[in-house]
Amino acid sequence: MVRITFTENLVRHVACPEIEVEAGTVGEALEQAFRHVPALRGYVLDDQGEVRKHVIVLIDGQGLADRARLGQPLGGARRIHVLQALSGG
Amino acid sequence: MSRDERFSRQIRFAPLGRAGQERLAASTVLLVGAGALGTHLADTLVRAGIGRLLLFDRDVVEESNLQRQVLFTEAHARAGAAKAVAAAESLHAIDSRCRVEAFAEEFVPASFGQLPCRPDLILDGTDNFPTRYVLNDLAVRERIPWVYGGAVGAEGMAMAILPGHTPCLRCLIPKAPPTGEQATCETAGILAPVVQMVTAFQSAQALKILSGRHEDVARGVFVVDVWKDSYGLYLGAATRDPACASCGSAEFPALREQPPEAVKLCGRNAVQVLPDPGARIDLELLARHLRTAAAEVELSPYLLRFVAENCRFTVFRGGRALLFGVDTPERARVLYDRYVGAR
Ligand SMILES: [Zn+2]
Repeated sequence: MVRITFTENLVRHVACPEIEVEAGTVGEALEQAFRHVPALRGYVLDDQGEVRKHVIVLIDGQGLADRARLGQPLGGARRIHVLQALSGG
Repeated sequence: MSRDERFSRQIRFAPLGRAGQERLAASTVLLVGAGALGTHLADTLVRAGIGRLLLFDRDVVEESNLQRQVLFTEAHARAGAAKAVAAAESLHAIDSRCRVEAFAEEFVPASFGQLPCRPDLILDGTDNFPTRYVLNDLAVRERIPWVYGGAVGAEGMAMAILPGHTPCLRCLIPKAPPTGEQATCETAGILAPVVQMVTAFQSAQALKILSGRHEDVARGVFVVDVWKDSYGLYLGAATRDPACASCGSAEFPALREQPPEAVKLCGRNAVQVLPDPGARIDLELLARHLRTAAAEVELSPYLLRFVAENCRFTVFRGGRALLFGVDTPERARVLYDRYVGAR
């Protein structure tokens, strides 16, 4: 099981509670989150299915090797963080 | 009081020591932005004993800044003082030996060439991505270390960039979030503790960099949420992207773009208008002309304020202006041409 959490910055636009899913790859895990909250997809992925350029996806604290390759296996990863670049200051 | 006594508690900290303190005293920091992040950073670094601070900010002090922006007072807000100038005033009272130079200007690529000296470090106190990419591209091109920081709501993020050694901001965030999706301090609010956490991280990296301890600088992205109480330094969060337009292919796109001449300020009912290049403006003369056409005309050494057509103008020397109470850049440009007209 892997737990996915989303930045409050996304929660502001679309409700995305933390969820736990069973998945083999990052892409599968995200797909399951999108199934719960379809509106989330457009905030995380672009129309090519790649992670959007201001979104940061961490798998147990490690960045994605490639924004375009969501087939990256999760291995035994426990946690996926979906973050967004922060602008304020 | 001797400088040794003043900084004794910091010198006693062995990894910094006397040699580190001497390096701090000889160092110059370029700090862009004197808002929440910027004022905390300036306060910490000037107290730590840096030699020289070059401080840029394009904005003026407002009452709603006082909740989280140190160095400013109610008097600064009442006067609508330029943030860079007001901060420099307070910093001078804190340590009169630190050379603080205030620039009440937008930081643009050309600003770098006009600095009085080469900075040893660039610190991010800005509230927008276009300026951050300018800082990133300059830092990478000039090989000057810099530290990114951002904060909104209860969340914060920061990263130190050592050009040539670590990923840069574009490797982590190749493109800014679209304006509509970008939470700002005005739309999502901001808590002072997240500012303090982010600037604590930034200043700690700054002290290591300035005292020559690059090997101790945090590699990774610092992410914090002070409401959910999650704090983390993610070492593998960013990797160098060989295709990065900055540290990879050295295109430095932010250094080629011209800043737009009228731009809405971060979620606020205010627009900044830049004068045409080469335009000249005489604030004293303008103030005299406006005595009949505008209300509440106030002239200070750095700026002119007045109200016309329900819009509050703040015009800086050089012709840059902030217009409060206007919705669109187009409307601001019309009002600017009507009342300031620096062409
Ligand atoms: Zn890069």
